[in-house]
Amino acid sequence: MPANPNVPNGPIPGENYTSDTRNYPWHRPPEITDLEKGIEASIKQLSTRTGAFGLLTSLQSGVTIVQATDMFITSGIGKGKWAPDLGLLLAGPVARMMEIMAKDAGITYALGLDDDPLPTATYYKKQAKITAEQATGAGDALKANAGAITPPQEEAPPEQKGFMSKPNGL
Amino acid sequence: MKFEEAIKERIRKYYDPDHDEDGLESNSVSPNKYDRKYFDNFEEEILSKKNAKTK
Repeated sequence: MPANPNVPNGPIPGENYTSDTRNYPWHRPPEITDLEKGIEASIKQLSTRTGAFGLLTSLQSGVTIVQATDMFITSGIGKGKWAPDLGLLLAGPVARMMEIMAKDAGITYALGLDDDPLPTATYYKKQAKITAEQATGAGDALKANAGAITPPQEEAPPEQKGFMSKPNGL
Repeated sequence: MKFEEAIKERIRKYYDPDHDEDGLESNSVSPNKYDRKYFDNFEEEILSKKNAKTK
């Protein structure tokens, strides 16, 4: 009997209470509950070859210290190492540790604490001067020049001869 | 507040010299070994060793 397409396919109410979620690391009690042990574990992980390489590469490519700390703390929560509350307490020391590593490696880094600049009145005034004709004209100009961009032509494969070559007509 | 914003705010307070961390330390069972002073001394030690190597 085919399934009725009008019936939504989703979990029934209360199904989550019957599912086994104990296997998720973040649903189990965390491994680390002490701040000092959490900092030591973080330092240990960041000091490894892969950890340090990944961190310094990220900072070099433009990731801020705050973003890297967020990723580190969140991954620890996902692995069941610490709870979100302890993660927030770890954020400061972990960010400080990352900063020290960046300074030691001589990498130009950004802390990331500055808030995004708010649009100023000058921005809104200039934006208000853009008319609908200008906007559509820019779009039309883009379409007109789209033909100038040609995809690279694929070269024809060389003609193969011999016993194993492709037979004619296929 | 999202968790990312909470992380950012926590780091901002950690880097704020006017923000007193004593409230956290006075409520803890044992004194925190890894406080700001520890990391400041650690940074100074690391960078001084690096400068000594380059000379």
